[in-house]
Amino acid sequence: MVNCPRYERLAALLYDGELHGPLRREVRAHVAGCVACTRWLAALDRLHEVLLQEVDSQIERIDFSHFWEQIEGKLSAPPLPWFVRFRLQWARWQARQPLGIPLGAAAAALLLAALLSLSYLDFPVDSFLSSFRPNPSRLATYSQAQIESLSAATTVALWNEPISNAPVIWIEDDRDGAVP
Amino acid sequence: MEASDWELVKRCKEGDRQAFRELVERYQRKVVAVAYGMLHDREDALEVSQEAFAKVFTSIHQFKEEASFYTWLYRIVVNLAIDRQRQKSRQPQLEREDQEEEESNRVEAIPDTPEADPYEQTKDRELGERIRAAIAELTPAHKAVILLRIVEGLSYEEISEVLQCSRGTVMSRLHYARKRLQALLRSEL
Repeated sequence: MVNCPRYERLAALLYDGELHGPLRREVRAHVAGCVACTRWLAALDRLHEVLLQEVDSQIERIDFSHFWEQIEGKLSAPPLPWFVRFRLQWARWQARQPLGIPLGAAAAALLLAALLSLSYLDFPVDSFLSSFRPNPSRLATYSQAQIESLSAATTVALWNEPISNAPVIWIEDDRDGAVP
Repeated sequence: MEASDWELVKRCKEGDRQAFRELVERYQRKVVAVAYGMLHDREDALEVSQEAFAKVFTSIHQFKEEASFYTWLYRIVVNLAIDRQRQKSRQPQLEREDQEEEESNRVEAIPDTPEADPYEQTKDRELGERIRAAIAELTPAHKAVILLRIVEGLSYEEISEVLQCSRGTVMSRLHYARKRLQALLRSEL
């Protein structure tokens, strides 16, 4: 079928009633004189017709007389035991993340292999891991400050740092930015 | 006078099951049509639709009145149908084939009306099969957009609300789905 690339999408928008104003008039005028667009719209019409016919014919065969009762049954059914709910949730999660489990297992295996090979090569794993923990001495260098003056625009916050168990005072001046 | 969706939803939020029943009866065919279009199986479509309505009732308090009820309902049914389709695609092939055979037997067992022309019936059945096969070729996102547009007659704005995507995405998905179906059903169109 010959198509009209410039107006094909616009013709479909016109067919769906999604064009307004001057563009609508322009596309209508074009379609009236374009064989390719007229055929495209006729094909869309036929596609809608056969699709609707197919879905309608299937829906007509469905017996809806017990539809509500079945929903009511679902609503008044006692809650499922926790292990059944867990299994259903698990099945849903698996369906949504088909690669989740293999990828997670592969990542865990890689991490384990890396740690094992590092310890086999006498790599100081403990000190390597401890480098990720916060250094208390680094906190200590910031633990002293002097407040010279306070104004109405200054906010003072005081909290306890959970890792080093040290009190922290935070002074924020809206005019000059944060001053620890 | 028929109560509006908004009034029925309000009554549902107060625990009125009769109001919910009215909503179900108002939308059951439309919801099953979308589910059927997505799943191509009447039993699955019925089950997913009932599950969707049950979910609507249990989470009606989460529904915000600024959106329309039916776009929210369609969103739930489309998501459940996509989940069901994914679960089915993970089922073993043999089990699926058994189910499909059972389904086709059920279709054959439906009595024909005496005035129907057997030739026309065969032709219609073949066309139906070709249409089902063509829709099955589409991705769930493309199926949803074409069903909501053609079967439910939703506007692009409403479809974008249901599928939580932009209007531009709706436009391009719809265009792609139509072109694909047109190519697959060339002899029929």
